[in-house]
Amino acid sequence: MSEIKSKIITAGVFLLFLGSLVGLALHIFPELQPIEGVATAKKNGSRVGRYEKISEIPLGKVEIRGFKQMGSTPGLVRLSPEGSRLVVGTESGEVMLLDLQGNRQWSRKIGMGKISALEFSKDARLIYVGENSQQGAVICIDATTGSELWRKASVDELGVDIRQKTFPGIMSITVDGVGNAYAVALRSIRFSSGKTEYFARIYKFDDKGVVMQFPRDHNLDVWVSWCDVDEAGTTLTFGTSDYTPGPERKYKDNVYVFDAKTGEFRWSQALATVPPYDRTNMRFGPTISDDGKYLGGVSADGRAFLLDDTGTLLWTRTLSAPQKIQGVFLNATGLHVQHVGEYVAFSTGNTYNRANWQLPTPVEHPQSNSVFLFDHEGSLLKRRKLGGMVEEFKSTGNQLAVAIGRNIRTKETSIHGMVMLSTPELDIVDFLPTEGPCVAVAANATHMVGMEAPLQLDSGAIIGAYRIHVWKKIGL
Amino acid sequence: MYNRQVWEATPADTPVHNLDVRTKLVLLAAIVLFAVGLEEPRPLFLVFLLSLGFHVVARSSVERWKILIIFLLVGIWGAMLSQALFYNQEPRTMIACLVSPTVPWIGEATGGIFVYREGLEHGAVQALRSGIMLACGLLICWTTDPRQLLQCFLHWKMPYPIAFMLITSLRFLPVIFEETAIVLTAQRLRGFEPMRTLSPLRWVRTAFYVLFPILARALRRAATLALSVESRGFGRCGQRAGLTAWPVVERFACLMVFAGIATGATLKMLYVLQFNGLAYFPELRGVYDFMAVWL
Amino acid sequence: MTGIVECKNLFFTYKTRSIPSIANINLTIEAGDFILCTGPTGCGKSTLLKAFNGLIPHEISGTLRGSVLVDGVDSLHSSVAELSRTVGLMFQNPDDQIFSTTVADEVGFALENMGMEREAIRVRVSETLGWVGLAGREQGSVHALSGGERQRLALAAVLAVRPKMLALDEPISQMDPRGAMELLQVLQKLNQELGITLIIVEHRLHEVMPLCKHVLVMENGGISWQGKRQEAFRSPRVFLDMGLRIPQPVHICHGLGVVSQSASIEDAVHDIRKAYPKCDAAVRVPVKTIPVPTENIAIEIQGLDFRYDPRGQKILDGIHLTVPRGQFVALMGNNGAGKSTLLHHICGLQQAQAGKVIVDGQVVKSLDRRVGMVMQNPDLMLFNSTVEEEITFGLHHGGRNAPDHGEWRTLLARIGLTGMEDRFPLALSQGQRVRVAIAALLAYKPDIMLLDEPTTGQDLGHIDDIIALLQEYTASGGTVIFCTHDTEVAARYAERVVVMTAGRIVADAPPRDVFSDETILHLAGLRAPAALRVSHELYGGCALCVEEVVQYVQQASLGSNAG
Repeated sequence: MSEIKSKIITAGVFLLFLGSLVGLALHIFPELQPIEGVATAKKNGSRVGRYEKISEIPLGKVEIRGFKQMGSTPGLVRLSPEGSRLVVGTESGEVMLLDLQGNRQWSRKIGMGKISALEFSKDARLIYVGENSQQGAVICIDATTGSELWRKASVDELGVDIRQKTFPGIMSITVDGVGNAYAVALRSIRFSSGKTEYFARIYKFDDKGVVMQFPRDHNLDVWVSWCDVDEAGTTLTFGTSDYTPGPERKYKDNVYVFDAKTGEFRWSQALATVPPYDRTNMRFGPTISDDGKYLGGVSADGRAFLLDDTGTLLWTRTLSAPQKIQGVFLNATGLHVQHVGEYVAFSTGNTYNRANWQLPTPVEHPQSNSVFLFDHEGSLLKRRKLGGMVEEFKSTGNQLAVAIGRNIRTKETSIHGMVMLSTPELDIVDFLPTEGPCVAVAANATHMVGMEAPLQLDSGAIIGAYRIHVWKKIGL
Repeated sequence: MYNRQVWEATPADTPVHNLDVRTKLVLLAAIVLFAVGLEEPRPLFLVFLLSLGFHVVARSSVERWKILIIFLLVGIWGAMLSQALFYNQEPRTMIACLVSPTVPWIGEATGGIFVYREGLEHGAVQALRSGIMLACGLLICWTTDPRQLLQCFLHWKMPYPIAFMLITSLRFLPVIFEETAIVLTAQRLRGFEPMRTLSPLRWVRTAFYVLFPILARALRRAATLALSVESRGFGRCGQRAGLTAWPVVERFACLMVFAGIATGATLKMLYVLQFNGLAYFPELRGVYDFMAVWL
Repeated sequence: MTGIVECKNLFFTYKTRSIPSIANINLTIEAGDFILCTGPTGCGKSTLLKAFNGLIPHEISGTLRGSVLVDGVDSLHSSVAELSRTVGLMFQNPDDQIFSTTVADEVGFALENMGMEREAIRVRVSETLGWVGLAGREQGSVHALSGGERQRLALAAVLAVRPKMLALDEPISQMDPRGAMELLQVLQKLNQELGITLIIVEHRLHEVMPLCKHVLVMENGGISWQGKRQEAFRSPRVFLDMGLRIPQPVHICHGLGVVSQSASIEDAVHDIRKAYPKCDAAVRVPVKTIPVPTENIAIEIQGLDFRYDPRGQKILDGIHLTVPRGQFVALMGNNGAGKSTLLHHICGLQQAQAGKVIVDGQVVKSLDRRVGMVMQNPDLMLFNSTVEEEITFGLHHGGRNAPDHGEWRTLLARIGLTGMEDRFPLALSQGQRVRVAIAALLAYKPDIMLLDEPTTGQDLGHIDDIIALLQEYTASGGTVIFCTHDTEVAARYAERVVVMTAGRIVADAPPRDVFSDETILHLAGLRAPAALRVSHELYGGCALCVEEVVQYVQQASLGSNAG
C-alpha cells in the first residue's frame, strides 16, 4: 500500500512539474497556443447575423490598461488590397502576415523599435512598417517572404537625443494609387519649462526607397502625425498641431498642401481657434478624397472642416462644443475623418475634462463617441452615437467599419466590438462584439478584421484578450 | 529511509560522466553567465530545457529526478508567487485580490495584497534562471567525482587548502543530510514530532535540537578527518600529479563557448549603454535588434 | 638497539588542560614488533599514538616535554608529512577518514601529496589494495564497500606510502566480528610477511591479544605495565582490575588459578586438565526448547516481508516472531541480515509490504510510542543542552508516564553520571553518551526497548551497567530486544537469542542451544563464545560465561557435579 502511495506521489510530482513546464511554455511561446478555428468561432455570432467569425488569432502579451489610463492600446491591422491577407503589428514589436483563416505566413520581430505605422503598398507586393526608435525608420518588407528590402532612418533628418530618450518615430504611412508610399516622421521634445520643440518630415517612397522629402531641406517645426495623398499621387496634405504655440514657429498654419510629384509647396490654411482653446490642432487629418478635390479635417476641439483643392474653406461644423458644467470645461475630442464616396464622415471620442484628461467629468458630453456623416455641402446627414470610443474607422467604399473601444465615462463593456454602418443612413448593418475594447479595424467588401485588447475593470477583473478577430460576410 | 547515494556522485558511462571535469565546470560557468545575462524568457526557457536534457543524457535515476523536480517546483512557484505578490514596478496588472484594502488592520496597513500578472511573469524569469543553475549544479555534483573537482581546482591554481575544503564540504553534504534525517527520526522516537506543528517557537526549538547533534558530529568528523589527511601529507609542497590531459576537442569547445559568452556580454553591454542613453551606434542597429528580440 | 620509535621522558599536556595526558613515557618500539596498547578510557593511549607521527606537537596544541625519535629523527625537528612516511596513523571510524568517492583515489591521496607520478601511483595503489584484500576494486565506489572493507581501505590509504610502522587507534572497536577478523588477519600478515611494525590501541583484547607480541598497559597517562604477550596472559589481574576484557580462556584459567600461556582454547583446556584432572565428566545439559508464548505477548510478528527496492531482494523474508513481556532477547546475525530493519519495523519507523507487527495487541501502522529505540549512533539521539534535559525530554513530549519526584535522578545514578546533570551530553565520552541515550529512553518507560548495538565500544564495567539497567527494566515488565555481534554478551545476559541471516530467522532458542549449533553459527558468521568452546572441550558442556566454567570445574574437582 505504501509502495502504491509512493508511486502515486511520484507520479503526481512529475505531472505537476510537466504541467508547470507546459504552462510556462505556452505563456512564453504564445504561437504554441492553438488558433481558434471555425468550430469555436462559430459560437460567436454577429448581432444581426450578416457576418460569421472565421478565426481568432492570439497576439501575445500586452500591457493591460484600465479606464483610468490615457489612450488605448495601440492597434495596427491592415487588409491587403486584394483582400486575401492581413498584416498585424503588435505591441511586442512583431509584424505578422496571416491569411484570413489566421494561418501565419510569416512573422518578424522589429527589434528594439516600437511599431508605430503599417501599410500595404497598393499592389500588395510590399509592406511598409514604421517604427519609433533611435533611428525612427520606415522598413520596407517583401510581403511574400517577409524579408527586409530596405529601410530609411528618419534620424538623419530629425536627429535623436538618446540620453533624454527623444526618439524620432514614424507617425503614419499612406499610399497612393501609383505605387508610392508616404510616411510622416516626427520627433518631439518637451522641456521642463513646458515648452515643446518639434522636428517633422514627410518622406515619399517608391519600391526602391526615398524619392522625395517634404520639405526638401528643412524640418517642419510643428507636430505632424498624419498625411494623406490622392489616388493619383499628385496632392499631399497634412495637418499640424502645436501644444505650445509661439511666434517663433515657422509653420503656423493648420493645413498644408504640397505637390506630391514635384515637392513644391502649394498652399496652407490657418483655421480659426475657438475658445477656450488657443490653437486648432489636427492629429488625424486632413484626409483627401480619392479625386483630390476635397480635403476633410477634424480638429481636437471638436470641429469638422471641408476645404477644396485650392485651399478654400468650404465649411466648418461644430461636432462637439466645449461645455462648462459644474465648473468643469468638458468636451469630446474630434478624432477621425474619412471620405466615403460623396460623403465625409467624422468621429468624436470620449468626453474629457479640459483641465486634465484624467480628472472625471460630471456628465458625458452628448456628442461624444459618435460618427457624423456630412455631404460636401455641409449638411449633416446623420449622426450615430456608438456608446464607446471610436478607435478607428475605415471606409469600404459604401460602408463604414468602426472599431469601438472603451467608454471611460460610463464604463459600459457591452459596446465593445466592431460595427458596420451603412452610408448615408449610418444604420447598423451589423455589430460584431468583442469582450475587450476593439482598438483597430480593417475592412473590405467581404471581410472585417478587428483587433481586441484586454481591459482591466475597476473591480480588478480583466476582460478580453490581445487578439485579432476575422469575420466574413455570410453568403460568400 | 534516507538514501545517501541519491545525493552522492556515482560513476557511470554516459557522455556527461565522461566529459573532462574542466569542460563540465567551464560549461557550467558559461550556462550560469548566460542565464544571469538573459532577460528574455524564450531563450531562458530553451536553456532550461537544455539543462534538463543534460540530466536525461546523464541517465539520472528516478529518485534524482524527483529531488530535482521538487527543488525546481519550489523554485518556480516560490519565485512566481513571491514576485506576483510583491511586484512594485509599473505597469502592473492585478489579476487577483487576496486581501482588499478595506480589510481592517492588514488591508489598511498594506494597502491591499494583490497578485500581479507582470509579477508572475517576472517571477517566471527568475525561476527559470535559478532553475537552470540548480539543474546544472546538481548535474555536476551527481556526475563528477569530488576528487576530480579538487584536481581541476588545483589545475586552475586555486590554493590547495581552499580547494580541498570546498570539495570536502560538498562531499560531506549528503552525509549531513542523512544525519539530519536520522536526528529527526530519533526525535520522533522520543515522542517529539517536529514537523507536526504550526508553532514557530517549536520550529525554532526543532532547529536547535537538530543543530546540536549535527554540529557535534560534524566537528568530531572534521577533527578526525583533519588529523587523518595531515597524517597523509596534506598540503605538502611539491608537484602534484595532475589531471589527465584535457581533450583537445573539449578544450576547443570550451574556448568557443567562452568566446560566445564574451561576445554576448559585449553585446549586452552595448545594448545596456544604448538603453540608458549613454552610447548608441547606428551601425549596430542589427545587433541591438537581435539583443532586444532574443537576449 | 635503536627502535623505530623511541620515547624519552615524554610528557604532553593539551592546551585546554592542566594535567598531562601522557606522563613520563619511556618506550622503545622495535622494528617488526606487534604491540597491543590498552588501558581505561582517558589514559592517554590515543595521545601517545599521535605523538608518534608528529601530530603532536605540530598540529595539536599543547606542551610537549621530552623527546620522540622516529627512525632516529626528533619529531620536533621534522614535519608531520615526513614523519607520516615512517609512521602511518589510522583512526577508529573509517567514515571519518575516507573522503574520496573511489577506492583508488583514496589510496592515491597520500601518494599525490608526495608528488609521485600518475603511473607510479597507479602501480602502488594496486599493490597496496592487494595487501589488504581489495585487489581489483580500484574503480569501485567507496559507498559500495562494507564496514570492514572500508576500514581496510582506510588502512590501505595509510599503507600506500610504505610506512615502517602503523599506529592504529581502536581500528576494530566499531566492527562486527567478521570484519574485525579480516582486518586483524591483514594486519598480522603485514607484520609477519612485510615486517611492518604495528601498535594497536584497543579495548577488544580478546581478539587482539592472541595476535600481538607485546602488550602495553597505560593508566593515568603513564605506562603501568608492559611485557610480552605470554606475560600478559600470565597477569590477567592487571587487565581485569581496569575493567578490560581479556580472552575468556585466559579469564577462565585465571579464575581457576591456572597460569595460561596463550589465549587459545586448546592450550587453556590442556592447562586446566593438568590442574583439574577430574573436570571432564560429561554432564549434558538438556536442550531447552522455548515454548511459543500464548499470553502476555509484547510483540507478535506475522509473516513480515520487506524490501527497499520493489525489484530488489527481500530484506525481511517471512519473519514470524513472538516475544512475551519481560523477555530479554538478543538479535544476532551478520551484516545485512536485516536486524536493524526488523527493529525499525517493530517501532513503526518502516512499514512492511506484507505481514504485520502487533505490539500489545495493536497492529503497528506508524511510529509507536510504546516502543523506544536506541540507535546505533547515540550521538544523533542527543539534542538537549544538559544531561538532565536529555533524560527528562521524553516526559515532556509524549511520554506516557509522569516521573516520580527525583526518579530521573535515580536513573542518573544508575548510569553513573551523578554530578553531571548540567553537562552538555555531546561533550561526554562515548560510553557516557550511550548511557545517557539509554537512560533518556528508559525515563519515559516504554513497554518495549529496542537497542541497536548498545555495547559496541564499551568496556566491561560499562557493559555491566547498561545490562543491569536493562535487566531491571525487564524485571518490571519491560521487554528488551537488542542487536549485537558480541556473542559473549549475548550468551551471558540474554534469555533468548534470535539469529537472522539474509532476512530470515534461522535460529530462535536459548543462548546455550544457539551457540552450540555450529551450523547456525557458521551461517550467521558468528563464533561461539570462547567460554562455551572451552566448556565443550573440557567437559562437553555449553557454559555461557567464564564464571559458569570456573564453577563447574571447581565443583567437578570436588565431585559435586556427579549426576
